[in-house]
Amino acid sequence: MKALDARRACAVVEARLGRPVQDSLEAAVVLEAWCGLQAREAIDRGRKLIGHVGAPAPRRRHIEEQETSGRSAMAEGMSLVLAILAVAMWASPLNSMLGAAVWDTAVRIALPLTFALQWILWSRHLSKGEGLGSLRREGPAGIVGLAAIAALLVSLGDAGAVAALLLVTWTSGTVLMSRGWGLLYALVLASVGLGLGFELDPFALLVGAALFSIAAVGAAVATSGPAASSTGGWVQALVVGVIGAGLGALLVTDHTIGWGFYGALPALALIPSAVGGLWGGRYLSSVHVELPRALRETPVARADKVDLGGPGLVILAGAILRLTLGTAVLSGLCMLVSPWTSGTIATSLFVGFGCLALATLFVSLLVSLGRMTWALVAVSAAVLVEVWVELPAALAQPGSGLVAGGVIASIIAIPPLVKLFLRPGRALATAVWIA
Amino acid sequence: MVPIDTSIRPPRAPSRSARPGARVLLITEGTYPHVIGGVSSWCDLLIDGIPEIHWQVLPIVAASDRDRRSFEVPAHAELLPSIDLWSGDAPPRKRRPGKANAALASTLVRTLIGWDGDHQALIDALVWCRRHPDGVRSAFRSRRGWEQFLRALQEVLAEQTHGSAPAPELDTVEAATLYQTLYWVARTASTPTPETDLLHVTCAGWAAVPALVHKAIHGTPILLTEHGVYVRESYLAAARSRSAPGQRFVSTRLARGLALATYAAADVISPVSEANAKWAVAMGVDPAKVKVIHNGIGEPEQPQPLPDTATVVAIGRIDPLKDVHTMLRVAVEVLERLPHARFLYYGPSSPEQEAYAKSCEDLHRQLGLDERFKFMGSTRDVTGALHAADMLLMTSISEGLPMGILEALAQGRPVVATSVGGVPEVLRGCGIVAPPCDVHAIAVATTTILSDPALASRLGKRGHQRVARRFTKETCLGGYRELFGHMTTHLVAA
Repeated sequence: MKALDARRACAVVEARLGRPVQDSLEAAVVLEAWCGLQAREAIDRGRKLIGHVGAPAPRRRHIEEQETSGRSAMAEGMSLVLAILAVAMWASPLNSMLGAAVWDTAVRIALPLTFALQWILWSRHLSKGEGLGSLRREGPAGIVGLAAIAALLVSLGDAGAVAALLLVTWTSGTVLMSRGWGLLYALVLASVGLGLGFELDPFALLVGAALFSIAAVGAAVATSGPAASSTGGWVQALVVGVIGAGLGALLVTDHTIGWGFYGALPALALIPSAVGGLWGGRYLSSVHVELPRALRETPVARADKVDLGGPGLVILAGAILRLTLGTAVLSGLCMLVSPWTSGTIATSLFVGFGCLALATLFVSLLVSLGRMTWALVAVSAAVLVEVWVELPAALAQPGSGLVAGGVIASIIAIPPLVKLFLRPGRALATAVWIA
Repeated sequence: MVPIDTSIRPPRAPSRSARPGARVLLITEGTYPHVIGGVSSWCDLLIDGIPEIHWQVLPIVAASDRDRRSFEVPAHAELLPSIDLWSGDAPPRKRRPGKANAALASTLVRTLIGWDGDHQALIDALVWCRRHPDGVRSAFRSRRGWEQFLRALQEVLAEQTHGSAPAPELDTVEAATLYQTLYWVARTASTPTPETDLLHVTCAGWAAVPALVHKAIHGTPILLTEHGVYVRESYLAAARSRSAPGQRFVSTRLARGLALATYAAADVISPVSEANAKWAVAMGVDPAKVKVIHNGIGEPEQPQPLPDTATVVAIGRIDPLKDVHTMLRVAVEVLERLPHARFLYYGPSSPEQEAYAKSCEDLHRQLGLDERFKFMGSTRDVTGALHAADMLLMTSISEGLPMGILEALAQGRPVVATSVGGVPEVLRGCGIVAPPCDVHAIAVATTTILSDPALASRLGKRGHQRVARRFTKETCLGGYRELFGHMTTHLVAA
């Protein structure tokens, strides 16, 4: 080897690498590891042969396909629909057994609290892949916290007690669905519905459902794999919880929707927007894969360019389209079958839930990209509009409050999202990949 | 070439031993106490063997390894919360960040990725991160931060230097990946370190980042112990990878930048082998700063006789650096001559090397080795594994001073190994070395030992004597005690 001149040494190194050498250190490493040169000599030779190196290796398309798993999407969607249907089955019997006022108040308390806890769980654990593992670490503290909230609610009387049981059951559902046990959860809810149909004690059934759900959560968490990441911060989780509570509040502060008086209808009318939201949300989550895939061949010099037809905006538009389409088609179907199911025919209710789903999509995207302030502002403004702005009687249709709130939240949330995704390279580097 | 003083002799009477109660912050990277391996065993030996020191252990780990615990940290050592890389979580925020430092990412790319990075500018940027931990995230999420980074990166890519070929084109995703990596460097720098008397860094890579900052702020000396050579191993991994040129460029340049910064800041560098010392000096380290301390193992017992079953044992992770492919091919050649020979490979495959482990299994199948070459998985009973061995085989393309070889010699087992890192200096007179990747030479050496029991026994005995003389735990710990004593004299003076 010592007899080799720099040109031949370069040829030897390139033959070993199968490509042009990158720098003198790479040459030195190859000369030492595969040609038996001592470190000092290898480094000296490496420096000398760099002058003989040709052009860098041509770019070749780097294949690193990360297919999104659509496997669980269908199961998740089915579980969600089953869960909503099961809860809808509860509404009418509980309404008559407990009294409309108790049931209505319980739902109005439980929904925002459930949303808040679900979003906290999502922020702190479930958004991180193997988040159930990290939830296991906080299991005891979580149970104490949930018990404290439940105890506080129970002290409010019958409506509070029912709200506590709903809160425990629904929050558990989030964990079970995340574990892929959504079908089991839906079966539990359906069993309660059947029990109510047979006029069994409603409190006993709700307590049973809550206890079973908690036990199932324990099993789900205990049997999940180890956590791959640390938990999110508490401050951030609490802010996210407030945003979730705000979205829940949007649902219950619209007084054109009566959760007790109209029995199962509001719950059933949720299905189209829930499924549409799930479809749109699933597509939007592909931004983590599609954005880098689309930017693979974009040179650094163009990394910060505005791109109106770029992947970010295309994905955002695709998600909106899916949500709208899914909600519209399923809402139409619901209205078509309503004469046979005693369902609602109020188009405005479906539009209201659709607007809420759209607002939820935008707000959750803002949260996942770390734009907390915008998300908080959007939700707060929506709740304020819904609570404080008195709609003229002519406009006060079922769900009109939701329409107003959802539109306001969307109007506030869209500009920062569009601004971010106009430059997809920047969006990837500064928002998608830096939490 | 300037001669290197690599002589750390066993202390006769410790003229300057570790000051009792002195605090040493041991910073590890992907090893102790989370992951089993040679470096982790060395950390365990050091902490256990020098109990008069108050050890503070700061692990830097990939988030996926955080919940693994392979070593119990003894009572006289304090395990600090780990720095979890790539966790995907926002850092905890204590107060509102001030004005974002838009120049942070661009400074890091110039100083770490540029060929001639400004060491002081790098240190200043890292110190800024420590002083403004709440500003790191906002700096990297800011529009101006990204714009300035892109400009700086394009300057770096356009650099014309004597040491480097023209840089490859990078695409936006590679630029964003580098941006994210530098964000994690900044977050590592921002993590607080406790008051301490000596910073002991276990590799010239990420583990050095907290130490660089601590030294810049408090003046605490840095001791660097390199087992492999970080920058060399990064380049080796890149040379063997099939990744895109841009990815290779970024990963190797970052390793080089971190290594150079560590070499510049370290007060003493104690590689585990003379070969590694030569690398450090060739990379520009002042030879006066280099003190080799060989690894050591417990006092070897009287070795058991060789079982004479033609059993070849290998110990090591299933990793490209161990070149298991070559070992499989060696096995084929040996088995052609000695069909009754058996190969047992003890060692885990890490989650990061799943593809490589799979390629080894595929090759094993292709070569039709069946039961004659077995992957035995991880073992904690290395001694037991070696008792059943007639010899140890190692085909690595990079090593520091492998504990597996020391263990084998202590058990009186002859060794055939590749001439990499500190291997030749350990095996001098008691084993056979062959060039890396040279299947035929390694196979001939293996066959020679397996078919000549007298030679095997003689080499085994010599190895046993050599370990007892040069590579004992006491010699190793004595070397570190002496270094700790030297490096904490400022405390006595104070």
